[in-house]
Amino acid sequence: MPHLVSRQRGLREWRLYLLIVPSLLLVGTFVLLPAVNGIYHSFSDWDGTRAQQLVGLDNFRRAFQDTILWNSFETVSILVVFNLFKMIPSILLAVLIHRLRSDRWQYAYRALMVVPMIIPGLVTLFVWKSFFDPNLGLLNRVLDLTGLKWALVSLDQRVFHWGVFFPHVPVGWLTQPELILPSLFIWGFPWIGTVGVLIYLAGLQSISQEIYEAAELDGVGSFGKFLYIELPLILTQVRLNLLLLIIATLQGYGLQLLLLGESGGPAGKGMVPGLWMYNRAFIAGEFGYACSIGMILFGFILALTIVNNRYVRVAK
Amino acid sequence: MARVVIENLVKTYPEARGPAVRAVNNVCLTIEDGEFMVLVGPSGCGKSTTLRMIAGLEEISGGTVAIDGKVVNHVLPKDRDIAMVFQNYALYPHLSVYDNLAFGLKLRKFSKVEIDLRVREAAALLGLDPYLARKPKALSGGQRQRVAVGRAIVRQPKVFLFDEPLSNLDAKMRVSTRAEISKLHRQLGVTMIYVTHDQIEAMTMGDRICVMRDGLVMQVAAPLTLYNCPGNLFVAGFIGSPPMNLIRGTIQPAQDALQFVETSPASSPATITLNSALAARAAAYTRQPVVFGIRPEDLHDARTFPPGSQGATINTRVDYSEPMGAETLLYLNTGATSLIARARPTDRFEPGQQVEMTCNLENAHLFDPATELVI
Amino acid sequence: MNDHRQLAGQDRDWAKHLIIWCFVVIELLPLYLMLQGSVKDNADFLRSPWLPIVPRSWHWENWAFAFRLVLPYITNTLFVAVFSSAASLAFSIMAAYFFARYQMPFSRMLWSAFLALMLLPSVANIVPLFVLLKHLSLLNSLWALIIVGAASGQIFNVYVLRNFIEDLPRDLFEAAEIDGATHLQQIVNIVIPMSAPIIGTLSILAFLSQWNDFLLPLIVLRDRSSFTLGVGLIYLDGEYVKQWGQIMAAYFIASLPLIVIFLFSMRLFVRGLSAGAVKG
Repeated sequence: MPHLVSRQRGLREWRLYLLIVPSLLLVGTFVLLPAVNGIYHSFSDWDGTRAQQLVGLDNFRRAFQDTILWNSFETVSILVVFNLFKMIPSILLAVLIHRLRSDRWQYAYRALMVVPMIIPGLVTLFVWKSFFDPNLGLLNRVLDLTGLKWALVSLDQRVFHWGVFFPHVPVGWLTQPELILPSLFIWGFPWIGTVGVLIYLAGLQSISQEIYEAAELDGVGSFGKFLYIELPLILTQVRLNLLLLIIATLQGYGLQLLLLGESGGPAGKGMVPGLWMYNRAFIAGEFGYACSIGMILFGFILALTIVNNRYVRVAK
Repeated sequence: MARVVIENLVKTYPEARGPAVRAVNNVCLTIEDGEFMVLVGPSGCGKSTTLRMIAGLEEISGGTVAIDGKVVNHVLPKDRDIAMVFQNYALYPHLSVYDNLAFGLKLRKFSKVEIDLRVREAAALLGLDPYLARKPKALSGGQRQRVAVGRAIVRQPKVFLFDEPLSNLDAKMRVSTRAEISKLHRQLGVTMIYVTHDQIEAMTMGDRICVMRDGLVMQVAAPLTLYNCPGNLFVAGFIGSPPMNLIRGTIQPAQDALQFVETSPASSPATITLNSALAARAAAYTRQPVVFGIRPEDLHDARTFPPGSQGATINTRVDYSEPMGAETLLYLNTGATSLIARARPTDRFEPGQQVEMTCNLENAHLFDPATELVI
Repeated sequence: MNDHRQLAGQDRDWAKHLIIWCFVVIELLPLYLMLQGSVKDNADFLRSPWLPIVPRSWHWENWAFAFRLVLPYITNTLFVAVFSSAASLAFSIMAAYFFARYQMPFSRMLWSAFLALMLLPSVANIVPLFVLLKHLSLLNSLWALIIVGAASGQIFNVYVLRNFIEDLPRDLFEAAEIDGATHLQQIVNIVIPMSAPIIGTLSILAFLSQWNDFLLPLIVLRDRSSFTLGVGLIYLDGEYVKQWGQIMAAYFIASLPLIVIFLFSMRLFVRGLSAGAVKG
């Protein structure tokens, strides 16, 4: 517990306040000030340089009618669902490693799991971007070699009529609007690159032996053990980070910027709210409007956080 | 001269609701140069808070603390020329014993030579030489405590402060460390202020003892004075183990003497005819309630110690006895009050047995139940 | 070894190993592809992009070129990451000490402000931040990255450190106070040694986040000479005619520093993660 200090002694020991000055200055200037500034400028038609005019709620009215913005929210929600799904392989792998009988192999795999983490995210991203390349990309080569390409073409022409897979044309993963979302889904396969596996493993290792023995006595099989012992534990860990993951996906746009470019790729199919904000500010120079988009995103996320803190946390 | 004078010391803690709590309430105490003063009392009596105010670790809400004639209320702890030994030793875990001892000196920019001299001196005094290179986690509790004491010694302060240093040691270590601290005091002759909740520590170590309760000073005196002449009910019951027997009753006139009559629902309450010394003091309380106090060792089996002129007897029933080897503790009951008596180890007592106990009135006390002061 | 794994079937492990290796191989595929692609020139690449070629015809000049290209980026990024995480941690420790040890007048107010800022999603900040940096003439300078990097990590670091410092034994600080230590000395002699693991973990997290950041550098940096790794790689990708071999070599060299750093601190990192996870 911090030691209570009276006003008198506080005045005499004013030098103690110096300890927080650097922190306060940094946070105040580079975190708080931009935030406040952003709120202010969302009501203006700022172009980032000269004095601007306050235009009241014009930006927000425009945002309300901005179809690109609405579509971007739709896209990003789909991406959230994708990311939730992408958590599954990590869980699976963690359970598999946890159940190995050899301690040496467990340690070896745990060490191995660190490797994807230390390759810089950007490198992974660009290598994947090369996979998507129509002519030289690995994806298309593999599809051709394994014959899957023909399967996809047949499915396309005879059953689903997507209109994206053609017999002699390399698949345009990042150039066909309809393929953008699937590409964003496939990206990162098999989706075990983050710290998830190690954290789940650590949690699994804290499960006491006795629970397994009791389950065995109850006649619970392999899958049952997963369902009733391991999964609940992992799910509690997941729940703790769920909100962070959702918020990160909602406000993220780096991936889309680098894979698809500033306009979100062909027909803007990969446009997410963050990217639209970036686009309006740094490409179109409409800083004021960008701020208002930022505010809308901010409000959305804040609401989610409050709901999480009030209802989800309390329920636990 | 390392005299510590505490005048009207007050410590208040602001409360969220209601009036502020006074942890230390107008404490006045003078500790003479070279004296070993023990602050003793139950948990929450304010003894630690008082010590910490002397050290400068707690702000003083009111009153003054003066060390060596200088008021130190606003002086930083490091400038008060004091050293403190903590209950949990507070050793720097990542430093060796040598560095722990040297830490304070290094901060004060002592020369390497001087530091080495003082550290080795203290280590020799406390038998720490073999451990100088070790880290605290490689030491036992008793050894860690010695390092904590050593850290205080190297500072050569005017006043040593001890905050319940033996509480975390096992019983045997406590006894030996107690003796070592007393020996240290004799060797160094420095003023020491020692806080404990254990009255045995207080009695064996202190030159004078300050008994505290609820932020107030109950009595300040030498150990035997506190034992033989307690100034109030609290001190009487606190000092001494097993504690003094306290019987509630009234003073009644009888023939040409005064009697103490127990307040009891029983048909025949304990009745003690007071001797002249007690009667003189009790006269003002005729027909009024008083508390009669007598220590276990002043209650004797009447069969072996007949009352005589200074004695008086109480009829009791034995509840049970605890043979301790060197003596037997008798737990008795008058019907209204429970008593403890020390009996010879060879005497045999059965539960339920009726025994008449002689009171040695020379060592008996009377207290006013309202003011709790001795009469 | 008497644990749950014995309870499972005796011969099921090979299946687990198989599945795990499938995962691992696919995950490590980019690494392999980078390596084998880095020694080809464009002709080789066009012929056979994904299969390795004979060592005789390996084009090591790709590596030399990539090295010359990427090295300044790496030094810049190292400079930014080290200084910003060091500054971030130093200031956070001081502020956490202030909040954890004492409750001075206005402490509570300041702390609530800090907590409130934690909830602030910082996505919208980048636009005003850019203009602010412009006004401060910090654009196109690595210092902008260092300062902003130090600032953005503060809140989380202070929060974590404060909780940690509150749990340190109080009498240790008091003993130091009596010994004559100033607040800074108490921080250096007590807080830092006793919080070493958590400071280590926070430092690594800060370093990593700065190393991998590319958004702010992208909009702030203009001169090629001050590019950090992120921006450098982006511009490399943006070139019209791709020299695949050199690019692959560049990617690999860009991954090397982290691999090297982690080889040295891997045990600490995994232990820190596990400890944090088990507690949480």
